[in-house]
Amino acid sequence: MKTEDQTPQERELHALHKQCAYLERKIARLREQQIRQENIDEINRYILKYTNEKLLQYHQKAQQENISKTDFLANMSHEIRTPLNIILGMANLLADTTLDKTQTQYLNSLRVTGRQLTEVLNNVLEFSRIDAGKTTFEPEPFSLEKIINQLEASIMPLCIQKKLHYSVLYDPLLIMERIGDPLKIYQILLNLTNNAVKFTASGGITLEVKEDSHIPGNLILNVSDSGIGISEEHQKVIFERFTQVHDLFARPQSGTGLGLAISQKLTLAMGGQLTVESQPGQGSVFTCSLPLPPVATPERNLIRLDSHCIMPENFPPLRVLAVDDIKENIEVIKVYLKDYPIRIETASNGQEVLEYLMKSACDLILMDIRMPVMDGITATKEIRKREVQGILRPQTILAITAHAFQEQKKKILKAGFNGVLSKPFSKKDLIRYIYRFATVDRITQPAEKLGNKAIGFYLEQDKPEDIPQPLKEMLPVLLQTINNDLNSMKMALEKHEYPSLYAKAHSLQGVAGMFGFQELGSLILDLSQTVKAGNFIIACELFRALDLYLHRLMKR
Amino acid sequence: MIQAAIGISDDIDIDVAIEEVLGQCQKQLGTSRPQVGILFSSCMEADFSEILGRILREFPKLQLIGCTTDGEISRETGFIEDSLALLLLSSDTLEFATAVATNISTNAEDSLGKAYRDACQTLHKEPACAFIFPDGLTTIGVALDEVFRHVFGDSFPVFGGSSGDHYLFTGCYQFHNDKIYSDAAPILLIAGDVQILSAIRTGPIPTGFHYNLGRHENNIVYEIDGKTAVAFFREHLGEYRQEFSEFPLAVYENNETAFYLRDPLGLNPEDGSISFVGTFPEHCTVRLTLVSQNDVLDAAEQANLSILNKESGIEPELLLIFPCTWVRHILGSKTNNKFALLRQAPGAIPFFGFYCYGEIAPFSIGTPSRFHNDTYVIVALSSRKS
Repeated sequence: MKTEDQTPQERELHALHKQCAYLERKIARLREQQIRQENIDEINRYILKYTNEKLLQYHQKAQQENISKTDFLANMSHEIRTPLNIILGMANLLADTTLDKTQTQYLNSLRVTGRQLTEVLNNVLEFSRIDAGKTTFEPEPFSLEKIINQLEASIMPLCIQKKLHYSVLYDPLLIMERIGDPLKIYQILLNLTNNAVKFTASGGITLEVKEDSHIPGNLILNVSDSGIGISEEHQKVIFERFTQVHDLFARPQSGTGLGLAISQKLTLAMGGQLTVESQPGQGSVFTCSLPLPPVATPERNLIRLDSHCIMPENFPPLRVLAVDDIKENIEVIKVYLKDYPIRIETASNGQEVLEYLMKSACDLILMDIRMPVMDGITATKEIRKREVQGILRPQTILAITAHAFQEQKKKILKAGFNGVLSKPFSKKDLIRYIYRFATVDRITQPAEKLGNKAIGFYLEQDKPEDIPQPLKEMLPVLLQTINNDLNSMKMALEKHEYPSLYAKAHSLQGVAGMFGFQELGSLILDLSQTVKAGNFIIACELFRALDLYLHRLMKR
Repeated sequence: MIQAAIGISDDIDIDVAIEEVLGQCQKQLGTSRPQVGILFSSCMEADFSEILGRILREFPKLQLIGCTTDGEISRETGFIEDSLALLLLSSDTLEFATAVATNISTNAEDSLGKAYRDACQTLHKEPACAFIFPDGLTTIGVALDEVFRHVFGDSFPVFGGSSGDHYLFTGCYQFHNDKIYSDAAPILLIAGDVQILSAIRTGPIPTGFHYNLGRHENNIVYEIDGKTAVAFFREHLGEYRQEFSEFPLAVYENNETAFYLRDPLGLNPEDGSISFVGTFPEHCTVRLTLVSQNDVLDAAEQANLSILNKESGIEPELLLIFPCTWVRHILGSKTNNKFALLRQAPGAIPFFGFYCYGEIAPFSIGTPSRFHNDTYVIVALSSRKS
């Protein structure tokens, strides 16, 4: 029916029908939409679940394959390391025989490359252990200062060889007694500094230690260098295994490229973070933030005493003859001893030592074992022979050697050496070693010659039985005097009477010097300087250290 | 300058609707006469012959193209369905030419080539871009990407979308002047000093592994990852539901990272094949996609932002929008959120478009124009420099 034929009611009814149909259609679409949305969500969930399951399967498979590869690598490295050790051992034995110049040259190449290969294998094994989660961490109280000293001992010779300067920076207020795994921390720092030396041709390396201001209890260990730098692209992969920065103009560096990967893995496993900032040609800064909470105060003093270094002020003036055919090794000794009242004479082989002793005298000889012309053992035997013959006066001869085995050390001592210091040694190791032999164990200065100083020397060396009887009787009064003086100084600090504190410190230092209490003298000096600098928190710590020191002496 | 007049109405009485549309346009036009018109409608039961006739009676010299859709879009209404929408354009600096290609399911390249040449002949300048609205059902098996490349070249920008039939899947219509077609593609060429800016963004997000696309012919896929297409979909998407069609495959050619999407349309349980909206290249990998309202809205927002970005140096006078209708069904009542940013933009830029069964645009201007699924295409036109 045409519209014009309809009545108004019919037209209205028709319009209403159309509107109803329109609305019904809209409602139906809304319902459809709702159902569609629910189904879409369900399919999304299904896809996600399926994809995740698949990814997990692939991940597990890849992980399994990775474990197999790592195991294979570790086994292979181990299998290669065993015969390699034999080869190197044989090479060392061969080096002790008479060889001509060419043979020595060939043998040196063999030993150098052998050692490099051992390092590569060790790194591969270490990485495999970490990768397989077989590395365990043993947090314990330790002295960061001790680690820094050990690190210096390893890095300094390399730096001297490349004419690089090496410096360590940290706030004197920083608490160096921390809780962590010292071996792993040392390993990280050694890798970072080794890497820095490797890629630095001039300038230097700096190790900086500071508190992490963002994470309480964390320390930041920064290793910066003035080396070739790392491009932004390389920075993304630098911590991946078997990655090295290659500069077009630089000689490819030796090594596995595992050092940074190992450091990264160890840092992460200890809950820390290792990052790098660098620009090509501008050097690099590796920043390692590690959770290393400070040790509780009482325990801290024990650790501090253990790592305490004898101050130059407390060192006797000495003349030391350093003997080594490698001049970099002598440089290391010179750098370590530069602040001490020690005059260093040098010789490059045993023959030169004998010639020197015929003309001049020295308090101590630091002698390398393996040298051309005349080795250290032959030279020492000859010196001892001449001593018996009365040609030379008794000498204190200390061996410095890379031989680490007890058997070899015994052999050296049997040859007539007074002591053996193993390479690499830290500054603190060398200072303590020289101090010990130049004072207590010094042949040229026997106990009876020490006079009153024997009290402090033997007590600090934990040998109270060696103190001569007449001096032993003085001990209770002496210790009581030291105790009283310390108490007076404490009172002076509490009352802020600093001039009185300095005066008492000065007087106690005199007592320490007179009776041979070297550690006491150095602690008192530290205390005076700390109070002068206004570091009263550290001063309190030093008082605790002094109390502990005195307690230890009294027990002895 | 481009003068645009837009009329739109969803009155249930189609006679009332067309008068409303014309009234709105006349009001905006004033004394100026439109040169070209684009008509979109999702009123599938309307008498389109009557509607086209009425428009041409109102504007006798008008070149008119258009198509049926799955919903119309305008600044005034946002998304609207069961409506008539008319865009009228005039310009003192630009030229417009229209033509229609017929039988494109069987003879796309020749037919479209002829239509393009016919339209070009009426222009005094080289065309700057084209808009095209091919049949959205009969062309799903036609390799439109190749056709566009052969007809328009590798760098000529072609935009638009394939016509819809309000999700009935029974038949789409295309319009050219007073004629109604199916299996056709009306085109509009614009020549002159026109500045064009376009953006295309994909809603669904590819996920999981790449799978090799096995045996396929045109838009029919028989094998994926060594199994039948149906088995593949069932394995990854669960038991069959109608909504499988909302989950496109992402297609990667020649190990490239860029991808385009293909929507599944129908399953053939007998041979395990699935038909898609669009064809596949010879060698490619595919990935499944996740579909969410937020991703779809984000895609539209990103596209709108890039068009409104002042740094482009183009101040749009008109925006033409061609979003995929599959995506609209996912958004439901949130569909209009897509246009919020355009509405907030200063200058009240008019926008106009429709929900299509497939979108046409280059990834960026200067690259080959392609046929897409599940995207949001927006084109900005301007005849002046900012």
